[in-house]
Amino acid sequence: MEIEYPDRDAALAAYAEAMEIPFEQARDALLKDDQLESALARPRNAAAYESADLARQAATLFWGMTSDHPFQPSPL
Amino acid sequence: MTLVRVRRQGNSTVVTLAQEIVDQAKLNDGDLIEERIDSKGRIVLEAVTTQPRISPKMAKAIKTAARDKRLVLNRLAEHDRK
Repeated sequence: MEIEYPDRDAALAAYAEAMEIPFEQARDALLKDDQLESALARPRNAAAYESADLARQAATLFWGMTSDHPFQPSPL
Repeated sequence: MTLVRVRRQGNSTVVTLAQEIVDQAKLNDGDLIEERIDSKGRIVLEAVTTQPRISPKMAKAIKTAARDKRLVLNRLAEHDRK
């Protein structure tokens, strides 16, 4: 089974979908681009260097996103 | 209004955008700008809004996840607002 990893566009689209805002606004809400990129790289690194299974890879992505907070809190 | 200078750089003609313009237009590295001359002879630079490049599978996964977890997401947003 081929794993598909979210890239920056996917992360922005996911944020936009979750927050129910347009895609362009998601780009504005992105505070820390480097931290988003590093969080997105985690699952692939975990797969390559730790032989992480799918669940663990997903967990590393979740961890990276929530601890680094690349997006600003809801402005609503 | 800021004045910027037109420069020759090799075979190219270059104009550097003032930082306040970049900030106000929210330009990011790699963004596409359409350039044209309008009917009044003004140079117009217009940001091209490109659709995100996402695979159909990814797009579907995102939509499904957001739909299925809408209640949780709303609860979390509510929490942020407090």
